Amino acid sequence: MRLNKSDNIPVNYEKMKDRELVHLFRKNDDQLAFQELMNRHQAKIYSYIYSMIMNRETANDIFQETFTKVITKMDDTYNEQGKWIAWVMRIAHNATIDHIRKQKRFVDVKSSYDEGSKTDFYDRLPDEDSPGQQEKLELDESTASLLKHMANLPEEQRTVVMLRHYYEMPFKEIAEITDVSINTALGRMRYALINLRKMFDEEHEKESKFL
Amino acid sequence: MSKIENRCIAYIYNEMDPTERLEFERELQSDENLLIELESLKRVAGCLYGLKCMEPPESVVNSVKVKAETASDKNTQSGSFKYLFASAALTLIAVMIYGAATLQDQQSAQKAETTESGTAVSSLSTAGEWSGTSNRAASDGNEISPWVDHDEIIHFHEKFNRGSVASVDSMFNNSLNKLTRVNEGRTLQQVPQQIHLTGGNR
Repeated sequence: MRLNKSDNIPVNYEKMKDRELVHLFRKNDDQLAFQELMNRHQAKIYSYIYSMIMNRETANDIFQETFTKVITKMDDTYNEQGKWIAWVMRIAHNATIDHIRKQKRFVDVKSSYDEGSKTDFYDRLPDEDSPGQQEKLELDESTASLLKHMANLPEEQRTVVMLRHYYEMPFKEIAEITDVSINTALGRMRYALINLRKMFDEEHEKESKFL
Repeated sequence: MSKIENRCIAYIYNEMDPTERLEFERELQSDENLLIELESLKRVAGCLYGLKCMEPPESVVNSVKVKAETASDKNTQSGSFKYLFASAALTLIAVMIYGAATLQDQQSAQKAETTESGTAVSSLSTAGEWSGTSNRAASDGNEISPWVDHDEIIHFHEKFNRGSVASVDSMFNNSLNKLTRVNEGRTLQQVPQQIHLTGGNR
């Protein structure tokens, strides 16, 4: 049996479908099958989480939380009929949305408003919804720029864009994951594109002024 | 939110069936504004392809893999415990069933023995009374209620005193003088049989 040098994963595992790998992991506790599943999807899942959170540390935590749930719940809640990745993405999405909602809930803006500087809690905090300087350096320029614009999109529009972009997920599945109708999912995508167009136009205007 | 405008998105992301697509393209030819909007949205959607995937840090990936291994070990352990408990439970159930069956057998054997011996003795003792001998078996005071079936066979059901085998034997012999034995009885020393006696000569 030939092995993939990087992870010692047999080459025939690379040819297997997700469903087969999941079956191997569930029935035989095959760690290589799980590693192959991770190799296939980790970047997309991480990118989705990061693009929603825009913070490395938090994205790392949510990524780990997602996979901890995947490992512990796979026997109970995943039936092998559905797509494994759609199931994982639902977990990642829920964990991300939970985090975003918790962040919103814990901030009492009124009580933290400072009359002197006319700033509130949000103003004084480093902006979580845009990549930090260090993180910008790690990302390529176009991705960093796009993510900055993405951060300004409403959460529900951003979700649809990211699920579509990273997973090429059909709008029907996006609608299922986000608990809306397919027409609403299409509408959110359309509004996201319209908003992004507006942001790009404003950026171009600024750039042309400097020139 | 208009469904017509949303169709632009379905068209851009190739989520229309061929018929819908053809119809939409015809519509685009006749509606210039729709075409402009579509092209504009397509351009923005194209920009999104610049969004690259990001790899998670290796430490994070490794910690997930370790968690998977740990969970797997736990599953294996709990699985072996499950098998252990299951086999213990099965053994216990098997022992209980075997015990219950043995007890039931013993009880039914005792019951059958009592009934058979009682029937035989009472039959014989009643027969003995008819033949003028004393009825020792009925000495406990129980009344015997014989009945005759349509074949004129007399049936008796009474308790049998195991100590009076010799007298029963003599009663049996006397009874043969008047009655015809219908079925083959076992030896009287064994006693447990039921004997049918009849007055007819069949």
